[in-house]
Amino acid sequence: MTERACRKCNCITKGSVCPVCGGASLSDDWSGYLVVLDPENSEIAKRLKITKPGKYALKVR
Amino acid sequence: MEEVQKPAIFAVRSTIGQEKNTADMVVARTRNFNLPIKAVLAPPGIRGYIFVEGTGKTSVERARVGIKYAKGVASGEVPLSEIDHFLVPTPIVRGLEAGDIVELTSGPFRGERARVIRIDEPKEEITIELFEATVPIPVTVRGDSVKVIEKKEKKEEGSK
Repeated sequence: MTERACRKCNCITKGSVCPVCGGASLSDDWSGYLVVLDPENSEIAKRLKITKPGKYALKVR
Repeated sequence: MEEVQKPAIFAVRSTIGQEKNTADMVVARTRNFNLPIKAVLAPPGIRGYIFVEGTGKTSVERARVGIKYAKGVASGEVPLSEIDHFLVPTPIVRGLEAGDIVELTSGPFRGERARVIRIDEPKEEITIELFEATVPIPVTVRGDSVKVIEKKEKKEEGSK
């Protein structure tokens, strides 16, 4: 199954439900790729207000 | 006393077109070797580079060693302010206004001129009306498939 991004929190998943926010509004049309491993110590994660580790898209249509 | 290193962002050169795969491989190596890498970023529009946030260049170098697509770490740190515009992308339709005259750059109506009727900012879509069409039919296209030819005339400037 293709990777899809959550329209609400931008999290990328292969499933049908977002693992971060639990939302079901997923999109195939996304760009930019960010993997957050340590959100507490990452400046990038803080800038994007990401609190959970995982894969994220930068832009979701 | 041991000095605690602050995480910094480093640019890693990668094979063009393999940025996402490179990022995934760096993440896999980080997990396998328990390296102090905080985040890996492959922004859209940047070809041949990914950004790795980690404590020290050595840890970033260790995370990319052995990866076929990762060619090397660029010398020097990348300040967050330099990659900030990738993190919060501005909508493509920003700057467009209803009434503007645009030219379509892709799709079946490529090269045709049209007037903007409506803008859907969250979906990044615009509704246009083609000049050439005999019957004015509103057509919805993606915001990135048009270029502005003429901005709508400002009425306030003319009245003074």
